Formats: sequence, C-alpha cells, structure tokens
Amino acid sequence: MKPDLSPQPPKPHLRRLLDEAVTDCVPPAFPREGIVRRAAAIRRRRRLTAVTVAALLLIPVAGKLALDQGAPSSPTVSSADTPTPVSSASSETGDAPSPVRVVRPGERIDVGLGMWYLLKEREYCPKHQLDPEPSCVGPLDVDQPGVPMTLDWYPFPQGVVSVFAYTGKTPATRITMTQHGRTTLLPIVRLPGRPSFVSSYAISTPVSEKERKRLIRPVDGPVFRVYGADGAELAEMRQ
Amino acid sequence: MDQEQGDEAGGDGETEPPRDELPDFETYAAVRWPRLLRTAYLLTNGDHHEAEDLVQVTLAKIYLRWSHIRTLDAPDQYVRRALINNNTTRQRKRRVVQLLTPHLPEQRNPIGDADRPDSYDTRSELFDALATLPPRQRAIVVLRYWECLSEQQTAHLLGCSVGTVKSQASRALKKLRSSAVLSEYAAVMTRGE
Repeated sequence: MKPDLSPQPPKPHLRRLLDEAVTDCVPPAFPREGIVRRAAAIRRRRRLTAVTVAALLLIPVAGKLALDQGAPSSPTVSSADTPTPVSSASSETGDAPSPVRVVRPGERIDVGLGMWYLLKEREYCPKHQLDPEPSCVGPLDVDQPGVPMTLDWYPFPQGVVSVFAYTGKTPATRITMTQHGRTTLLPIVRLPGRPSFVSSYAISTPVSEKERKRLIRPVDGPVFRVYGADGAELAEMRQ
Repeated sequence: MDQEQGDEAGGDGETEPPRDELPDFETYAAVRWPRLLRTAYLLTNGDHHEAEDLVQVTLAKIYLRWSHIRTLDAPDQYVRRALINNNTTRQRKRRVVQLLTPHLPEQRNPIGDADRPDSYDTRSELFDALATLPPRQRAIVVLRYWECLSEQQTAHLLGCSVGTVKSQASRALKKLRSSAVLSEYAAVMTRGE
C-alpha cells in the first residue's frame, strides 16, 4: 500500500481543474448582518421546536393528572383513593385492609376488559359488552340464607372477570383473592352508609378455551375471602 | 455522531453568544469566508447562490456555538465538518431540484482549440461529473484533491475510517475519469508539461 504523501496533492491535474473551476466563484463581501440574522432565526426556530415538543409531551401528562384529580368527583366521602382493577399478577399483601371506594347508586365502576358494573340499593348490576343493559343481581339482604356472597364471572381470552357482592351482618374490611398460592388484595366498592353491603371485582388468570366456551367452572379458579375488622374470615366463595 | 456535531452545531448546550464575542467571530468568519465559499461552490456543483446560502447557514450555526468552538484546538476542522454535514442534510431534504434559467446552456464548441479545451466547457463538464457523485464521494474529492487534506485528516473530518476514504476516493476518481473532457484535459495537460 502506498503511503499517503499529503499535503502534496495526489492528483495534480484534478487539483488544477478544481482550482480553475472555483475561479468563477468571486466571494461577495462578508455578509455579517445576514449571518447574525439567520442565527437569530435558527435560535427562534429551535426554541419553538423545543417548546412545541415539551408541550406535546406534557399535555397527556397534564391531562392524566387532571383526570386523576377529577376522578373522585363523587359528592360522598371516600376513605381511600380510587382503587385500580386488581389482577392476579398483583403483588401479595399482608393484613392490610382493602382500599375502599364509595360510589353513588348507579355510578359506573370500571372493572377492565370492557366490563363494568353499578350498585343499586340492594342490587349489583354487571354490564357485559354484549349485553344491551346491565343485568342486575338481587335483591340482596343481610338476612339471606347461606353464604352471604354472590358472584358472577365472565371468561375472556385475556382473563376471567369476577364481580361479586358480600351482604353479611358484620361489615367487611378486607377482601382477598387467592389463586395458585398467591393472595391478592381486592378493592371494596360500596354505597355511602352501607358498610355491610360491599362489592368487589377482580381479573384472574385466563381459563382454557374449552372452559371458556362452555362456561365450565374452572378447576383451579380463584377463591375469594372476606374478612372483618378483627381479621376473622366472614365468608369464602370459589369462582 | 458526526452528523450531529457538524450539522446541529449549536444544538446541544446552545447559549446566547455574548455580545463581546461577535467581533471575535466576525474576524474569524470574515477571514474564512472566501475559502469556505469556494469549498461550498465545489460541493454544490458550481451553484453560487446555493454555496453562499450553505456557508451562511453554517456560519450562523457556528455563531450560535462560538463560545464553545473558539476554545477548540482546530475550529477550522469543526467548521469544515459542519459545512459538509449541512450540505449533506440539504441534499437529503431536497426532493425536487428546479433550475430556472432564461438562456439555454451553451453547447460545447466542437471546433475549438484542440490543444487547449475551452475553460467554460471544462468547468461545466467538471461540475456535471461532480454532480454524478454521491455527496460523500464529492466531499472526499473536494477535501482530498482541492483542500489537499491527507487521508487521515479527511477520514477524521468525515468521521469514517481511512479505508473508507481510500475506497470512496477511488470510486469517485473512476467515475470522474469516465467524463470525456476530464480525460482529455488530463491528457493535454500532461502533454503540455
């Protein structure tokens, strides 16, 4: 390989040709004002771009913050923030009480996977995507015989949605879902002034396609347990 | 990386240059102006307006970062790199080129002086030949054979390896040699010497 002998021009003919070519180019006076003006324009444009990008990035965040602040718009007092839908993938909890959300009768409670429900004085009404209207379960009463729990479950390919209500004489303070050895804390949703009529919801792991299509009760479905303030188990129901 | 450094000169950490830096920048830019303009003239295939615009934009970006660039060991290298990167960016962004001219281009004189090709024709064909090169190859030709930079310097300036410079230069020269007038010119000049 030949060593580079620069700065000796390696192709003198080409150099001469290029030199001749640029003789046509007679530089005008140095455009000081033009350069400063263009620099100012570039600076303005960059700042505008930065502001626009920042605004575009911040608008969704601000919107989410505003929505979060506006969410507990219920005139009733809530003792906890809006609980988020809990899935089986949530972390396990100790003996912490469930987050409580107090809703008005008829207020929509989003569960996930397109499902939602509402609470009435003595009913809870889940709404499936395919149903034209919520289908109500009730009337529920503290004097009803048997297990004071009523549960509806809806299998989807992404998971099984469970919506249930507890109507016991002892108020519930903690509701859990246990599946595959993992216990998940669920939220409590209730009406104002009705501590003994509470509802909850969860999304558990999907069932097999056969179980889903035939609506067969899953073999290893989750178990829901309701506890009182003293930690005693008040009710248990399997999906 | 390199594109960012040159093309977006003034992008990161852009600050308002202090007023007292303007005379310093002005002195620097005024001295470099003719040379930069000629380099840009070759890079833009002999388009004087395009070349002037390119240098102005480059110097405007340099001005925005002058407080940093003035502290560099080789500000000229930075400026050259910015010029080349800006040219590449302009070419990339340009989708349609329209050259409006009131006159038809002059035809090459077939019965001219056989020993000395007409300089207008030669220049015209040189720019035509340069226009066939991709921007990077054109930049290598200008830097190596007009600015007389070494292969190492060219590679460093373009942010590529020396091998790339060699191979690209070789390809560029091969293409340029296919231009008839350049071959003739080289032959005539060799005879004249």
